[in-house]
Amino acid sequence: MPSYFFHTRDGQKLEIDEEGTELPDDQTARNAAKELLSALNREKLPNGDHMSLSVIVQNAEGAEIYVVNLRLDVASAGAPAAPKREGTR
Amino acid sequence: MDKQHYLERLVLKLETHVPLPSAEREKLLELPLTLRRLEANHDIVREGELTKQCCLVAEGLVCRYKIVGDGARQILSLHLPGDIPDIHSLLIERMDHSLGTLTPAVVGLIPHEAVRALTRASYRISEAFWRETLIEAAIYREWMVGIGRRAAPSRIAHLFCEFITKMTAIGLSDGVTCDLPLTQPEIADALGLSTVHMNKKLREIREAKLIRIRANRLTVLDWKGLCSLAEFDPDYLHLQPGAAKIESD
Repeated sequence: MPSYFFHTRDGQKLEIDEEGTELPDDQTARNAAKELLSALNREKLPNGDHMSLSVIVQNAEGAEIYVVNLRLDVASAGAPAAPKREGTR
Repeated sequence: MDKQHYLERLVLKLETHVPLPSAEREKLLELPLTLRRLEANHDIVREGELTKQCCLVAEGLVCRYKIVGDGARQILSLHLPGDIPDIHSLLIERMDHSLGTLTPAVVGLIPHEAVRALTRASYRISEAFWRETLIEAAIYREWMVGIGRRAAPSRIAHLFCEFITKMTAIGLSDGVTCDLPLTQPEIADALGLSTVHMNKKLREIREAKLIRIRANRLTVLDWKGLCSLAEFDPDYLHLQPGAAKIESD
């Protein structure tokens, strides 16, 4: 099975995957990258209101084949709090 | 190895939780056992099947698992020599999950009738099996907390802490190093992680010099650090004092 390398970027911090993971094909690697990104996102959620995460997939030949990005921004909407609705608890 | 030796493993396992009177020990050692040698990844009993026998793990590593709709596997529990992972089938005969080997294994099949006769004859033995299933439920609770609430590095560290503590209790580890015949995808399936995520976080734990894994052997380099990352407190394993004393430094 070919090896794929999943490098990650968290803001400016790049982490190189030196060991890689054996996966059957590119399609599986593509899904694995999305899965990894969503797991990393969940792990880092409590760390503030702005986040920019990327997973870069490199194949065994050294070619970058996918880049998956995720950006999170939390901002106050600036509107007054919604009035309490009648009859709800 | 003979049947007697494997039944002694069962007694040893039960006695990690509570000592048994010698008469009860003798009775357990007389249980009829049919030994079967199995390859790795072999199903012992599948979800939905009816079973009339229990399975004692004699050698190797066995797991309970379920497969979900998209084919993903969740490993529900890991079973070491001396365990009877399907003891509940004595009372609920239809399997609601599957039981299979992870490594080449030897299992001893014991007819339900024999276990039933024994538990009816001895309240102490009944209680011992009951206690086993209760402690298993405690382990499930701990796994549920891990999968539901712990971050991946903590989840992985917790599995290592639990594994080596259980191996030590049954005399298969000195508390520092033990066989860990699990592949990374298997560990990922037990922790509800993807293999890639698992690989990344495992690397972090190794780079932090908490453990070393080489040729299917786990060595703990920093027990305190590993327990702290895992938030591991062995109380839920309900081991007898002295059954698994791991040095804290």
